[in-house]
Amino acid sequence: MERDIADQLETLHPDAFGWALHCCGGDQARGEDVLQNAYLKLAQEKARHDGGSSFKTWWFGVIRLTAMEEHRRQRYRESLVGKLLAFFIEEPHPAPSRAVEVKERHEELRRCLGQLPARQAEVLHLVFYQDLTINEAAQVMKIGVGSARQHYERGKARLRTLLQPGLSHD
Amino acid sequence: MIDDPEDDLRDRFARQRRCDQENAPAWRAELLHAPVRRPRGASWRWVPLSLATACVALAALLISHRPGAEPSLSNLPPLFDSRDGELFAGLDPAFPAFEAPSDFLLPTHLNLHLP
Repeated sequence: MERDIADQLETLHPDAFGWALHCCGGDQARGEDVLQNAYLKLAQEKARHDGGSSFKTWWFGVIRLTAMEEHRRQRYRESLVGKLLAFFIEEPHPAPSRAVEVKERHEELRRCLGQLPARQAEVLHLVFYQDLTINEAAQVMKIGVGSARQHYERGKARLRTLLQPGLSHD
Repeated sequence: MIDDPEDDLRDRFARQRRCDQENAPAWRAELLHAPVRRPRGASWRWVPLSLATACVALAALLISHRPGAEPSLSNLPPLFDSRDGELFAGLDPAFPAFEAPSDFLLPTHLNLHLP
């Protein structure tokens, strides 16, 4: 792998983890797995930056795609066949301390974002958390700018409502 | 000075970002070369089940193909004893032959006549 790409990945690593975490609904372990699998795609040259967009938007698109693949695998594991298999192969549950740690991390903002439609939550995360423009967020999400703007406006209004005291509790 | 109406959301996201970055795994160059992580222990959990299945299959195979397991016909116990002599010899000749009312419908070769 080229040195400059490795340097960019290192610079983006904390934010890339935040994005992976968002794509996994705040699940720390899954976020780490998704990010590592995304790195592996680069290492194996299954994903290459062709220069059509900025490295950051392209890289975040790769992470998003990897998270979607992981989500599909997760759904399979939760399906009937998966449950039958899990009867024989029980996956390790997080240790109690780890579970508490993960639970503590489920902050109000993440909980409220979780109540929004996925596209709205994604565009808000990319704009407010990652400081991307709506145009860049649209590139990451592989949707049009108009559509991204609509998700952004609706999501923002809905998030404000959810964050009001007394309305955001489950 | 006009406040940005989005400042409240930006603040919340910034706090979230700081919190996430504190808990982010450290960057390691090996991340670009590490193999895909699999659920720990998953492959080992197959081992007892696979061994048990293999043992059962092997035992079934051995039992079904055990040499000399098939008994010869001469070793079979007699199912019933039959004494030599005329068929129905033990039947009382005075016993009236039963004739069903529908016997005439049968072809003659199917009618059984007892002596």
